[in-house]
Amino acid sequence: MAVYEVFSHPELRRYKTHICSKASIILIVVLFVTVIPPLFVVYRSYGFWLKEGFYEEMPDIEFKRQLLLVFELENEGDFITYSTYQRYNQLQQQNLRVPLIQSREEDWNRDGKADGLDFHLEMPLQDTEKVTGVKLILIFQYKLFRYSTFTMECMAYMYHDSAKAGSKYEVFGDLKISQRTPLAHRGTDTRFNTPVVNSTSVYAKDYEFSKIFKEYTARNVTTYLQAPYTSWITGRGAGQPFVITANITYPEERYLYTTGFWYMIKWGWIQYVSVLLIFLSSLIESKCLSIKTSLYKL
Amino acid sequence: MSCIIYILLSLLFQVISSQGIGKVYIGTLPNNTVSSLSFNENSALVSLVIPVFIENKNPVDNTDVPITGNIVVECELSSNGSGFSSATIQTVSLAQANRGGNVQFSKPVKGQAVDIRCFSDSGLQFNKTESISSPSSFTIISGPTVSICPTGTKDVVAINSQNTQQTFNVRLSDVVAGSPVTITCTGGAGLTFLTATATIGAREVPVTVTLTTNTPATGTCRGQSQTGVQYLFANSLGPPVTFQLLQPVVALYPQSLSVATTSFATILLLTSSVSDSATTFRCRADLLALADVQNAIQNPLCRTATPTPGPTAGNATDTVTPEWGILTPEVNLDSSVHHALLKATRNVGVTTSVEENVVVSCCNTTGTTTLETAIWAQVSLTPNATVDWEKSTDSNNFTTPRTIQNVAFVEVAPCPCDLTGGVCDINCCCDGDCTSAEQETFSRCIPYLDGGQEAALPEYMCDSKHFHKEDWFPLMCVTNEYNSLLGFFYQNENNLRTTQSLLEKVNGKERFTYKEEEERVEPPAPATTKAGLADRRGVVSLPQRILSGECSTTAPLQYLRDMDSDCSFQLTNAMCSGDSVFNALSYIQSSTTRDPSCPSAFSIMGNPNTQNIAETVVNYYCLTDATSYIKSTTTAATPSTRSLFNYTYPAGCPLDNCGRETTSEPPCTGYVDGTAQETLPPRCGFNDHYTRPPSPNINGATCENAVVDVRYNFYWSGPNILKLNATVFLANILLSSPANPVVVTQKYKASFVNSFAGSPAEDNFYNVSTPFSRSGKPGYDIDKPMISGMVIRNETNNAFLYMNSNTSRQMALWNTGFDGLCTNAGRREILFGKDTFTSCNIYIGTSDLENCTDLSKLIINRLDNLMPSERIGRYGNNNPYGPAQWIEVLREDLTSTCTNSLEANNQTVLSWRISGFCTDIVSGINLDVMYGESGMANGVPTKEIIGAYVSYSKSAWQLTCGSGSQCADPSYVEPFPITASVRFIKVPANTPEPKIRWEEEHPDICYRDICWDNFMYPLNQSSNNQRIQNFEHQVAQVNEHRILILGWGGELITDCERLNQKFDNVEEDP
Repeated sequence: MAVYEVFSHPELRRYKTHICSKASIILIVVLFVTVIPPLFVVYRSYGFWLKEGFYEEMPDIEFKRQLLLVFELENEGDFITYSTYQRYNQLQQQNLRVPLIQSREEDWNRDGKADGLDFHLEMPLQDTEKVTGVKLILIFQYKLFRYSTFTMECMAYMYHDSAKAGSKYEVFGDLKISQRTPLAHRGTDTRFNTPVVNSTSVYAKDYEFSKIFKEYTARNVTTYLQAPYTSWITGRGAGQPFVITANITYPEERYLYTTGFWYMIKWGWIQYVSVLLIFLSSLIESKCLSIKTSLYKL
Repeated sequence: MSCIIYILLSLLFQVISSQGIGKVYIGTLPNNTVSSLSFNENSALVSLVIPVFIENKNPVDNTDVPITGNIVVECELSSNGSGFSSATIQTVSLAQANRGGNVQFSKPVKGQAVDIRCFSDSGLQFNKTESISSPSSFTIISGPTVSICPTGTKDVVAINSQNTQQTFNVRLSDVVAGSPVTITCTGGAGLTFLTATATIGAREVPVTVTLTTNTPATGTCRGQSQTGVQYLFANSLGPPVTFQLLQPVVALYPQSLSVATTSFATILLLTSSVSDSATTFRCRADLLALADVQNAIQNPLCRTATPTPGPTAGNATDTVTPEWGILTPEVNLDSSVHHALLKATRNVGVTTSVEENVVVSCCNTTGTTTLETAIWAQVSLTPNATVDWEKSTDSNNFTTPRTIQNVAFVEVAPCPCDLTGGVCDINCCCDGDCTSAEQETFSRCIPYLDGGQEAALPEYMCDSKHFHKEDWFPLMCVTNEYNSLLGFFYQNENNLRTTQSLLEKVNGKERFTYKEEEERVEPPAPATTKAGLADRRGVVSLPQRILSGECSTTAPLQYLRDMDSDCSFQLTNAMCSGDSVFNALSYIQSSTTRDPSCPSAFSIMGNPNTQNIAETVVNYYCLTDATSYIKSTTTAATPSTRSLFNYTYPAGCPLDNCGRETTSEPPCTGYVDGTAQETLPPRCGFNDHYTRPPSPNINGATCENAVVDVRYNFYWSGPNILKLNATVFLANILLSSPANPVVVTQKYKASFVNSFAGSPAEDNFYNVSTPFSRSGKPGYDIDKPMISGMVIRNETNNAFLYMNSNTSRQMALWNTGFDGLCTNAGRREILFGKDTFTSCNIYIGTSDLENCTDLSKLIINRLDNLMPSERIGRYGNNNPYGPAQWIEVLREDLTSTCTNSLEANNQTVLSWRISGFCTDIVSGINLDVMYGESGMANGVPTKEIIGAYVSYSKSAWQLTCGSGSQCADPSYVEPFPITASVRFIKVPANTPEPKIRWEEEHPDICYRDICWDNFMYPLNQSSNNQRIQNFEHQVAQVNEHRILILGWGGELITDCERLNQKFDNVEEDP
């Protein structure tokens, strides 16, 4: 005759005792043993607190239409220069020559942020003036929005020196970020929004490349022009200007940032609970057993 | 015997005391000595006197002793030569009755101040050495001058018209005082001047002139005081100036044109009017071949062409050239109308693309002088190539926007390539304006539907071929289905016609444009100065390096910022003339310059707020040899002869085992304290502080009087510049040529010297009144010179007296030149905290290496001479009389090396030595300096030197002859390096407690992120970060505690301390 289950219901069995009892102590000890060791396990197994993180963002870069330009000529002490800084130009006087500057920032993928700069500069020269070196600083504005609202003024520096007089210098590259400290996860960050060239100064010292570069590299977040492929074209024709063209792409970049409080708590919690579950399942039985035993022994 | 001598001596003394010692003083009785005397060159003879008086006193009790007889007083000047004040000085005879008198002098010659001393050599009581007075300065000030000051062109006065009276300005170098001055001008043929009178108080006088000839003539002016001697005819003559008739010039603007339209406009401009009447110009436009253009510009065609009949209005009617014409070919220009607009138009349209050269020329048809000009316009015309709106039939009212109907329902652009209304657009096959003949000329039709380009396929379309497809790509893509929907259209944007609508569009986003935003630096408005109203204000500037070494010739100097720079220029003919950096007039001039009186030089304002003028004194020196300023073009050859050190053992001096001098008595010391005083080149002849320096001029292949060195020394006190002492070196330099390029390095220096008047600093150990430099206070600052010296002891008891810290007694390193030779190497000072390695080469051959011991001794001698100090200063500024502030330098004991005690019994080594193989040659010296951070001063760790050790490097030397035979040559030499290095080692000031290695090396790192400090990281994150930073400086930790306790107050205190620190670090205060 087969036996079958006719009916079943759960049974709630309450064990009661005083606070000062062996069962209470056991309960506390078991609770302690269940809750605390998982914390040690997850903490001592590295990476409990996620202090830093990475995120990717397409920066909002805009060419500020500011530049500082110098052409080295063949003869000792001869050069031609131009900048968009009036006070610098005032310092230069007879070495100042105004070039034709054309620039265009194109948004290829139509995401509302420029993807690159097409820069074209023509410096009119006499046929006797032979350009043996070019140095050019372009000033950009760099903005990030995804975590902290980050704004800075930054630059791209391109230079070339050649023993042979040139007619054209072409640069193709990326404006990359160089980050020494993490960014914040929220708030407005204008720590590095300082002018690259102190254009309010009237002193020659403030326009030395060494001073500009020293102050710029002292910043913890900067940009640099990564352009390993440049071409120096020689053979300038009669009456032709010297031409600089630059195609600078603004790439999507990966940024290091310090995570926020709740982000750390969230990932800590996930790690902790996943280990805690194992402890709970294994120790819940022993709790039952030991409390029962202790009570029955009373 | 001695008794007799004593009696004789006392007798002699008695005689002297009774007679007294006579002295001469410059000044007046009773006792008013004068320290400076200045006279005007033009002063009346009676006033050219030097007041003197004599005194005779008993040297014992300083009482007056009567003067016997007549005393003849003479005076002498300290220096003479051109540029210095001089005069023929007479003598004066004085006596007891008249002890005061005047020494007269005549023939005064203007110049710089010199010292004058008066003396007497008469009688028993006066002799030259005893009676000579202390020096007073003696200056003959230049007489005032009268110069013509042309406005506009330099040195040229423009005369507007012939035979007409006209005035020009004459500047007097001094304000007229005492009596009016008659100004008389004289000039060449054709110049007539009227005599003018400068009233009292005047500095500028108008003078009337008439020029009767057509050719330029030169004229000069001079002045004579009507009574008195302020201005004298003899020496007030100014430089000559050219007077010439003003030449009117006519020009067409712009001077070259490139146009693509069938009409263009130019402006005819008469730069200076022809005074008599209006000038009529006749203009033409000619179409020419390119080859004829240049000729037509030089010889305008309007010159030869016969005048054509007057034009009819609104039509270009010049019949000579049918293609191009001027609308109004005849214009009148006079003094009221200076310019006229000329419009050149093409009379007929073009049918094909043409490049045309049009020359517009204008000639005067009235007047005596020939006035003509021409310009060249390059015209490129193509039919329909550019949209010619004037030809469009749809040209509508541009002031009201056209309303475009809803494009969703109305086909507004049935043919997208039809850009021009009413005209056939090239290659647009759907353009209804094109005739079939025109359509046949099309090269192709613009592709795609209705002549427009097809849009790219969006990425969400199922047909899209883009690369980064989502994993579920075909699932969520969009596919098109053609139905009755007409499509999506962009909203029609009206063009912006009001400023308001423009601003609304651009509002909200930061946009950058090409512009020079900064304001130009404008000096403050001209101000009234002592010498009258200043015409202009500017900033003091000197050429300075900018960018990557280029030179900016007009870079301003910064107040209290010393500057030392140089610039290299090729000295071309152009640089040797005009206002180049080689012109002495480009730099500051003496404030006493008055010859000529105009243009006046710039003066230094003592303070921009008060209009005080700081006195400027410029001294000019003329270099005879400027090679140190010219880049050498020769290359030195590699040394091939034996060369050791610039030193030989002084004869008869005892040496120790290691070849060191054992006595410190000269000449056995070997220490040579070089005199740092620079010798100045000879002064220029014109350097009398009154004459303006000459501009450079080309003489053959040489540029004369070119500036090579400029030094400004500003003396300041508080916010004021008190004085400027400038030094300018001039030289005659060969001009640069393509075959022989001459590159001149100009040097510039500006320094600010404090005229200090406060109480001296407490650590002014040498008790100097001039600024001195510390290496830090109290501890050393990084990159400041390390102070060391030798102990000077009392000879008898050997007790410490003081430290000799002269350059030759300080620790030093090699300072080698391009040749790298030890014999030419100087001493380079050691900078605190900078580990440095230097070396120089000695060239030695077989003979030296066969005598290793002597060679080694000489090297040890020289190395110890390079680092001779016995003690090193512990702090940035040490008391030379306090032995506690100097620590002992420990030295490696070389006795065993010097005496060969180790190798004495080693046969192998000895045999090597004989064969020219030297072992254990001392070839270098190394200094190790230990410093620690001992305590804190003003919140900055005090870096204190706590120990120093000198060790020697040893090498084995042998010739490595390239080919074997070279070694046999006794004259063959090879270089061997002698090194000197310094190393700074930071040690804990106190011996630290032992720590496990990991903690000691990386106290700031939380190893694998599992240290217990970081257990509650999200909660105590900020305090953790702070702690890590504080490991850098214990200082910061101290501050941190204070901030915790005091909150904001604590932070303020620390800021104040930092400020104090800054002030305390100011290097120069006596």
